[in-house]
Amino acid sequence: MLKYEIKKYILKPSIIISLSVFLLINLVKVLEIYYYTGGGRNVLFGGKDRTVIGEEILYEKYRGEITDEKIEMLKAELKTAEAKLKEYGIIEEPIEDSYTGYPYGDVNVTKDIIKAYEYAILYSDYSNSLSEKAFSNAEFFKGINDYDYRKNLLLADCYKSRAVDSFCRTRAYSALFDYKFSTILSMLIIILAISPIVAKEKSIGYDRLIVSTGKGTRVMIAKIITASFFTVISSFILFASDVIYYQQIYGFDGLNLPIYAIEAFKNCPFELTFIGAVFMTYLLRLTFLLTFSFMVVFISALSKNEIASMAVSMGTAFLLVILSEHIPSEISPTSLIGTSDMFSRVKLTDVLGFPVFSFVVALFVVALLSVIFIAFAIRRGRKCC
Amino acid sequence: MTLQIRELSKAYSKGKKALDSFTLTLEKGVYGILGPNGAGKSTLINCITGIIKADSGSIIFDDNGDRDYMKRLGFLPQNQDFYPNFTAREMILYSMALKDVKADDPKTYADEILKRVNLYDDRNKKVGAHSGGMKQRLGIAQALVGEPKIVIFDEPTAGLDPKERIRFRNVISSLANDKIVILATHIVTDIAFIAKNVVLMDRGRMIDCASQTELCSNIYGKVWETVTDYDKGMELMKEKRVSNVVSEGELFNVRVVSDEKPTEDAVSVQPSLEDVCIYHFGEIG
Repeated sequence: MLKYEIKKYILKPSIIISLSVFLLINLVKVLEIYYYTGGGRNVLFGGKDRTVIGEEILYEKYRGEITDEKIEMLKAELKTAEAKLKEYGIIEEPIEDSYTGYPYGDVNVTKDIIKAYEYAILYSDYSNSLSEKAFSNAEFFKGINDYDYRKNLLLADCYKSRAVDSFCRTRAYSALFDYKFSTILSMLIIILAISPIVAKEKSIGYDRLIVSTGKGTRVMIAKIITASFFTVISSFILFASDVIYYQQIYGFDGLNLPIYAIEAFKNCPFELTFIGAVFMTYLLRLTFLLTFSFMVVFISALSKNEIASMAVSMGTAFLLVILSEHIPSEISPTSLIGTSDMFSRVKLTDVLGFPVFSFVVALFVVALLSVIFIAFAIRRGRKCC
Repeated sequence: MTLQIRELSKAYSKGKKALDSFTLTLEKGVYGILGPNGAGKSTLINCITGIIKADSGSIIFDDNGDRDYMKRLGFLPQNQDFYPNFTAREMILYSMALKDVKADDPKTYADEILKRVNLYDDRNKKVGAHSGGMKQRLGIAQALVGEPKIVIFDEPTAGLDPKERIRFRNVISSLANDKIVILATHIVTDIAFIAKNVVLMDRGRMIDCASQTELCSNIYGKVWETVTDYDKGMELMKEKRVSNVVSEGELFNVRVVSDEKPTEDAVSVQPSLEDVCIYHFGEIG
């Protein structure tokens, strides 16, 4: 049954063309963001300009384990760059004797690397102090407030013994975790492919035939599996395109470094490597998209034709995006898309006196919603599909 | 082989009884169901096919001890369409999957079914490129998957051109030997050509079930033809049940269904199935 559902709704030229177009739109969006965040003009697939190449040479020179020798070299590098800046001043034409072509650019890049080195070196002290504060808070709350006691113990434990001993180029990760546009595209392609999944049967009258064979429930289950399958595949393709585009633009470096190697994520409550954070980002977005696709199946089961199903699904998606800022993150399915926020702040929810990460509560909510959507769709499917 | 429909009743939310203790026993052969709009034809078919559940009553099938008629059911709903990106063969394979029909070589089985409705040559053509007639034949083909004992066609010839309609009738006739074929349609001529037995329905009840000859003979002496001028013709159309009017120059040949002789010069003629419908329902089909 499954292969026929896939053939009916997924293996259609319109869906394959739409997905290809979305991949292109995604690329344009990534490039647009890169351009407007100061990434330069000639950015992709070997078309980098000299400034970008110079930056990469400097980063390459100082990446990896932080050593005293590298720190000394960096200091010398900054001195040289500042001396050149004094000599040449602000120039418009690039010079040969420079990484980026401009002494001012060399100074900026060197200072950025020094700043990152300082952050890495000092991070251990920072996180230990957090851990100690949390521990002392826990002691304070012991016997007074169980939730705060447990919360502080959890924080004390998670910030304990942290260290960043390497430096790498991390812009790709921050950009990837911040980038949510491909999830919007995933929602659109899900609407295009899945919104007719039950409504189409009704509009062509095939629902009566299916019911007359007594296979309504089996067909509905096949439809739900098809929706899940398509969601996994399409969201993976779009997320993989994000990864490939950012790999081409910035390059993914230090996959095994902890996520708090990026200053923006210094308070990250999870002990994750970058590669782990990338997977977690995909899995959380996939979870949201799966629930979304079940909702589209449900809407399709309630609709009389494909157009109505598509319009209602589109309206609901729009509403979800609009309301996402006004719904508490604990119960908002869309909070699962924003991993950048999740990695940068500690968000805990009091569940019967126990501190639970807010995203876990959101996961529970989407799981519950999924069960409701699936149950209603199957119940409905017995009658009309 | 019999299909017994016993005291079947179904009322919708507004309280209207679509089926009112409908009782009928069907044996092998083609049965045409005739009735005016709202007579309950579609509700009856929906109950037999399991699309809706009757409020009360039962449907009992018996074919030498085999009582599960749902597994032996073929159905072509009204205005049936198909998935445009499927080929005719894929549609049949899909029907096989829906009906749990196993075959050593499913493609050969599907092709055999398509041969019966003359679609074999178009087996690899996408359904989106099929004409209305081809789609209707494909509908018949999917209904035949699994060699059903009961085949139900709901308004099967709607939208077909005369050639396709004749082809359809021939296919139905060829099925009648070992099956119960139920044909619900507004087109009386289809039933007149194919159905051995005619079921007359009105307001959810069965009025009569008999052969066409019997139904026609029941109203023998109640069908008249009279030649009149325009004014008299219009008067008859207002006052009597008129089944046909044929213009003959300035005069009109009017066919009237009436218990009494409509005019002095009216002559009694042989009733047709259309006259039967007019007699019972005041309209055709």
